[in-house]
Amino acid sequence: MESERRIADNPFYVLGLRPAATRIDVEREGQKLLGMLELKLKAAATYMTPLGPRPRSADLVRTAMAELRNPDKRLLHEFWAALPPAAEPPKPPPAAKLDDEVVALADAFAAFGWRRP
Amino acid sequence: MEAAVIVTLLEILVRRAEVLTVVLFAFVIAVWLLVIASVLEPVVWRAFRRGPARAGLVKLSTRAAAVFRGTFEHDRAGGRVLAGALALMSRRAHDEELAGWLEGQLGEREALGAAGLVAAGLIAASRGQRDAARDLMTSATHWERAAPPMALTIAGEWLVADAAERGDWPAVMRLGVRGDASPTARFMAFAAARVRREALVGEPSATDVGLRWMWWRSSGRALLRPLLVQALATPRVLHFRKPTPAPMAEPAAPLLDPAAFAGDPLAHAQALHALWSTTQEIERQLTPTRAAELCKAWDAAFAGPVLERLTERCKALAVVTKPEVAAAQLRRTVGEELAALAQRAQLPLPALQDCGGIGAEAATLLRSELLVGVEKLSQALRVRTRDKRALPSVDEMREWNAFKRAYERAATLGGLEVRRLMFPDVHLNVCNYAVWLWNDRKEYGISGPLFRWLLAEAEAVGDEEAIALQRKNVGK
Repeated sequence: MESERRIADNPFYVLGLRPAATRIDVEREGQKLLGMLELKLKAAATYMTPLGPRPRSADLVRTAMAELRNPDKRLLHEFWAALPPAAEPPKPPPAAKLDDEVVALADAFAAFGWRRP
Repeated sequence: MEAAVIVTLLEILVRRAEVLTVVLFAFVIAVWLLVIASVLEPVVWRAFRRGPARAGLVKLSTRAAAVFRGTFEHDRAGGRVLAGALALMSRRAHDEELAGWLEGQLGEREALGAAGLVAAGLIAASRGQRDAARDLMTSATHWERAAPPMALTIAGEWLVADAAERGDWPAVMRLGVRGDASPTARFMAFAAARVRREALVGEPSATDVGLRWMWWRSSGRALLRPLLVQALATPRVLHFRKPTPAPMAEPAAPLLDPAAFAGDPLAHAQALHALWSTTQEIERQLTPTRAAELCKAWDAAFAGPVLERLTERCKALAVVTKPEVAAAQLRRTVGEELAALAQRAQLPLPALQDCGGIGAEAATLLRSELLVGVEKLSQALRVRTRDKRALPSVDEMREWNAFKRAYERAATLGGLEVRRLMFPDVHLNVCNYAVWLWNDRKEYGISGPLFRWLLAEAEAVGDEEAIALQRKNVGK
């Protein structure tokens, strides 16, 4: 989904930086991560987002650096990185209570001799 | 001489009488065989379903089904494909080659019949196209022309299985008491009614003995035993009373405490946004109250520090974009995402509109998206009708079902206002399409329900001219 991707792929989260980071911080962190990914270091394999940990790749890091070099794009990314990354994905909200007392019948198709579509 | 002639004549008469006796005897035997066949056919069909069809022997089932002339009266060719499709659905995995072969058998025919339609539904189900299969089966149950009852029974069985697997028990209870419902579908409906303590339409509550009898007649008894046990454990309700209204609901506590975000309304709004963006079964969870909470959080974020923060950052980054323009762009993005969330959650448009502020903006975007989506499909139908570009019958049905689904989804989300806006264009294009199907293609089974649908819609939106026209078309 677009909104999920917008948050999870935000360049600040990919580089592990906060919106206040300077251009030098962005370049330094990006180069460091590229080096770590080249050496296949475990510490660089994932990054934290408000939606939980995500896998990091060299392509993702390069794209993030390119996005943050453009001030207009960076302005928008700063907006979407206002939330600090979380160690765990958000807990799903409680489901609305259903009045049905009969749970779904998982074998309903099999009862008629059919495969589940 | 005369005596010889008389003898010859007598001999001829005797021979003729012998021939007549043989013919009469053969006729009696044929009638007797037909009677036996008609009595035995249902038994043989049952054995056939449990034998070659259950074993997944697609080609054998298709060819052997030629003997079920009575079972598939009104659509024998479709019935043969249906028998093959039943076998296809019983295989452990989908076989695209066999599905294509079956579709080829359907394609050889001119107008589509009810059995052919159910067969197309089963083929779609076998491919995993569950929505398409549901549409085709539903169309079959509303078939207006003469249809083989067995085809309708199979369509009902599939719809019951689909509803039971999704936990849509009201649908099971509705479909399972139809006149053409199979014993298994009936058992599921009665058992569900018993467990839910609800009445079935036009049917009494089943006794314990009745439930056991229905279960015993069902196929897949071992799989249905837990449902039987649950139903028997629920006391039988003999008199259904109007339920007492539920007490007034307490206002729900906020999902995320704004205080936890140290006075940063933007972080609070984004946290809520992130939460809903990653929720899987959002249609069960994003209620109008929760949507209002999310919209209010965004309104607070945009009313508060956003513009101030953007102005400050614009200066620091020396960007060309003005802070107001950037804020408007961000607001629109948020509005689009709220509209997408509302669409995923199947939240009615008025609920979003009532949120005010950014919620109302999202409602406007969603409304326009719904209208444009239906208009595109409607125009595609218009162009195809104008160019007389015909599709095979099953594909015509699929395309119509996809259009109807999009229209009804837009009508459900948008309410009467959106329905009234969509209808004039839809009426014109669908009516021309249905007339083309009726007059040129002789697809009475497809076009008849289209006219009825148009009449129902015209009555719902109060379009007098369309009502008069469609009443003529359906012969009211």
